[in-house]
Amino acid sequence: MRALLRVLVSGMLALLMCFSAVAQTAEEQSLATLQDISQRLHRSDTVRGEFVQHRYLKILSRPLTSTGDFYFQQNLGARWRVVQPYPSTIHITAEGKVFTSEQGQPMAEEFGQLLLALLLIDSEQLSHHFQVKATTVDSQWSLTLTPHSDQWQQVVREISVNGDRAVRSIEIHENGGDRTVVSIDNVSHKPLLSDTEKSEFLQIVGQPAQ
Amino acid sequence: MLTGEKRGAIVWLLAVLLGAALVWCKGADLYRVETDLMQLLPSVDQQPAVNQGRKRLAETAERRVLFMVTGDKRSDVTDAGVQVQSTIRQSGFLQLLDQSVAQQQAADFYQQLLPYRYQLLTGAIVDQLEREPEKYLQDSKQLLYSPAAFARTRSLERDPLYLFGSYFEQLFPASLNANKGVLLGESAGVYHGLVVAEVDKGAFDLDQQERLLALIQTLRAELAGDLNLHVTGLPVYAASGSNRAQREIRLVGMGSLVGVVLLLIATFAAIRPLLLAILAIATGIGAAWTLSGFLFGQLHILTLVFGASLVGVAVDYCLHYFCSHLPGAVGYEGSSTRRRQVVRSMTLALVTTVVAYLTMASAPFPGLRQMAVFSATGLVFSWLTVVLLFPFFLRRFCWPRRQHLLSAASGLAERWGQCVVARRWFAMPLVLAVILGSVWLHSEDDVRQLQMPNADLKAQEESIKSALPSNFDSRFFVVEGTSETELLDRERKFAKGLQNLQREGDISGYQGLSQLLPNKQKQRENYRLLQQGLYDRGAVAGYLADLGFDDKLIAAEISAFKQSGERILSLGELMAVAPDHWKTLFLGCEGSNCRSIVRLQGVRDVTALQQLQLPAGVYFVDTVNDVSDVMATYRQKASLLLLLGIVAAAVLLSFWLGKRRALLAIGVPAVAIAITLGALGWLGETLNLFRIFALLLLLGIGADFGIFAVRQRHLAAHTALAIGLSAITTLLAFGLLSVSDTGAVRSFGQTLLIGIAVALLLSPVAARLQEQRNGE
Repeated sequence: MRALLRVLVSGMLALLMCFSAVAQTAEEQSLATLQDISQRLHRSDTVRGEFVQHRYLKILSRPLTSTGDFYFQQNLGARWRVVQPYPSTIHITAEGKVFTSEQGQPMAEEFGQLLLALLLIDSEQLSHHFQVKATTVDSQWSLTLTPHSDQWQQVVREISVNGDRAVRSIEIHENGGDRTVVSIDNVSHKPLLSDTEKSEFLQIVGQPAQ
Repeated sequence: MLTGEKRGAIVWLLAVLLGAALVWCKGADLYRVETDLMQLLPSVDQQPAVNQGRKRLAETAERRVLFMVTGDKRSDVTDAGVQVQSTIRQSGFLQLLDQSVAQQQAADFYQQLLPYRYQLLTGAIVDQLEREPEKYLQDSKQLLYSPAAFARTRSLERDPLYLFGSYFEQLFPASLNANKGVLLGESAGVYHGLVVAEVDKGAFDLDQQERLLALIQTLRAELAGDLNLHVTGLPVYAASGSNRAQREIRLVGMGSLVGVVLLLIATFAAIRPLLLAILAIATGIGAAWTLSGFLFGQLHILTLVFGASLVGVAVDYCLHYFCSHLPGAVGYEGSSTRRRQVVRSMTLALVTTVVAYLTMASAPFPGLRQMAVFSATGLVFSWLTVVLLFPFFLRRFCWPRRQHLLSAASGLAERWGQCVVARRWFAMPLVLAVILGSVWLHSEDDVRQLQMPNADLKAQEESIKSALPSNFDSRFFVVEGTSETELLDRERKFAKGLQNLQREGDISGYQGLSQLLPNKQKQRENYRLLQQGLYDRGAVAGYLADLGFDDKLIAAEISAFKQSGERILSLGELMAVAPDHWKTLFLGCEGSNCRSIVRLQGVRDVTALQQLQLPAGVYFVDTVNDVSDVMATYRQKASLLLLLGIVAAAVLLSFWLGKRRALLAIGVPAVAIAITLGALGWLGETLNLFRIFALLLLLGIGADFGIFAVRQRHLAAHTALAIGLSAITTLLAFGLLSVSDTGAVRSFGQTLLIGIAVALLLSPVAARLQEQRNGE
């Protein structure tokens, strides 16, 4: 009799757990996956890489193509540098402050923060502005971001990100039908940032050298 | 055959009917009340342009309420903001200033003005086009490659050179982040969500004020524990102020009313004298309002408040009249002689007070003039009521015997008078103390001090302001011109000075129509600049082809440019599509007078603003400061007139009473005023307009005390009782106001409290000094 009761209770508990697992919303699952993906990225003090950006504009017969490189340094921030055809840079501090080399880009601040969040798969930052759907297949993962903040909704329809141990590509679909594809290559964790790079960064973001 | 009493009543009735007829003709217009303090300035000091600007901005400010939720988590703040919005939507009296509406307005603006893109160039683009036009194209191309170039790439087809985009960005900077209609921001790790709403009626609607306070309470109750709600805006201040004032009036007002009623009923053992006293004062105020409304067109709220208080002097007449009827002690003259004497003293007191008050009319200040006429008319009509109507209503009234009260009053007064007169040496140190106190007394005319807003509300306003650095300052400029072109030219020229201030960090920004619209000539120049620098040289076609535009698109752009050569945007067309906060800036054109407002943001250095060179047709408006200035000017003028009033009353009285008695009579209020000023100095209080008005009232009441005291030969007991009753009623009615939390009200009450007490103590002394003379 006692044994029967125990079986019943444990059975009910198991059933309850099943229910709660099902009840876990798709979003929560995605968030869990997102955090998982974020952990899969190779954690290192330094990340360096190169990128090619193709901007497909509806009205242009050929894409605007640019290339450049980037680095990320823990506790310092990131630099996104376009080298070809026209040089320009964005510096983003670890606190999310954005410094651009050029005037006249209204969304530069928001974009800089998004870029940093995408490179690091910063789940908290991303879910502030976007609804995140994450899927994983073996070591490959992909994210689909749809904006829920008013400002991003005006510009972006969807962003998809693919990667494995690092982010491999970012594809931004704009509302008007324009599309930007950023492919990332040669990701490495060396060399560490040189002192010149560090002091240059600090100078641009207006902080005294440490 | 009519008796004298009936005749009097009929005359009174006719006068009242005449007044009623006047009201009938003019209608409710007579009773419209002006609340703008600026109207109190002499007309020479008032610029119509400044007034118009002030009114326009007040319209918006009077209705706007800002709600700000703060918390540590962005999503919590957003959710709470959404909750605040939905509660506001359901409130029924608050309208949300929806962010989506603002965005829609901005989008419409973009659509409507895009055709004018070749005319509306920003200063930076003009600079570049003037120096190296080709470089502009090169830079534009470069920017298209930048990773954050969404805005540019999106408008590439309709605005390939991003001319209009640059113009639009400058006007609608996306500073705060809107999410679900809540404006989000962050500073030092704390997120804040802002919701803006407007109340339906002005800030001073009582019913709405209550609902607003209730709504704020509901919102606070709905908020999660770790979130804070800050609310600010004129309606909130008004609601809190009026809520407080109502509470005070209920407490103090009801308390004093009950006191006065009980006192009068107890003294005269009936309700009729009380009702008659109320009737006399009501008639006075009613007549004063009607007649001065007729004379001045519209009365100011300040006139009403103080005028009505000044008419309160009339309660003295009633009390003296009633007391003279009380059956006297044995050995006094018959009551009819006494009554004749009282009426004569009363008339004398009336003339004196009216003359003293009418000196106020000599100043070129509308407020003081109104007040002079108001209080003088009010007193005359109250007096008329006492003289004409009271005999009729009191002819069969059975007066109670009040021997004990009378002899107690006269005994007290006599003993006090003797006691003081016997210790004359005391006058010297008293004079010294008064002089010392008066020297310490400083004036303080800042209206913010007088309003004494709730410290908690002030803190909420500060936190919202610090979260919103782009919030508009209360100071602004008004620009005037004879045409739209002149207006814009003047504003643009003047704005150069503001740009300098902005560079030096004295202000964080400004907003003016000239930023929005170049004048006609400049628009043509802009077009020519593009034409000569780029389009005519084929540079644009080359640039577009280089980017990858097909031939059709290139041809479309070139022809769009060619077709818009004659286009000129007028101020009228611009204002038709401009978002509300820009529309506010244009005050319109009346005849050959066009006016606009230039608003300021983030003012850090006020002196820099004040030192700014103001060209012809530009005015600096600092309403808070101006109101304080009005207060200061009125205080100075009113003090002077108070002095003049004392002198005029003394001269007048000396004709009737002789020099000595006139000096003694007017000495009561004069010395009371001096001692009050000294006492305020010792108490560490400051002098302001409201205290001066209290002193004016003290002059009226004190003069009554003095006149009756020195003319009391045959009615010492009745006069002493009447003066005592009058002092107590005045103290109850006004003196209790000294517990008020509102600075202005407290000043008024406290001054009267001290002054009336001193005048009460002085009148037996004056009587004693007069008796001594008679005895000699």
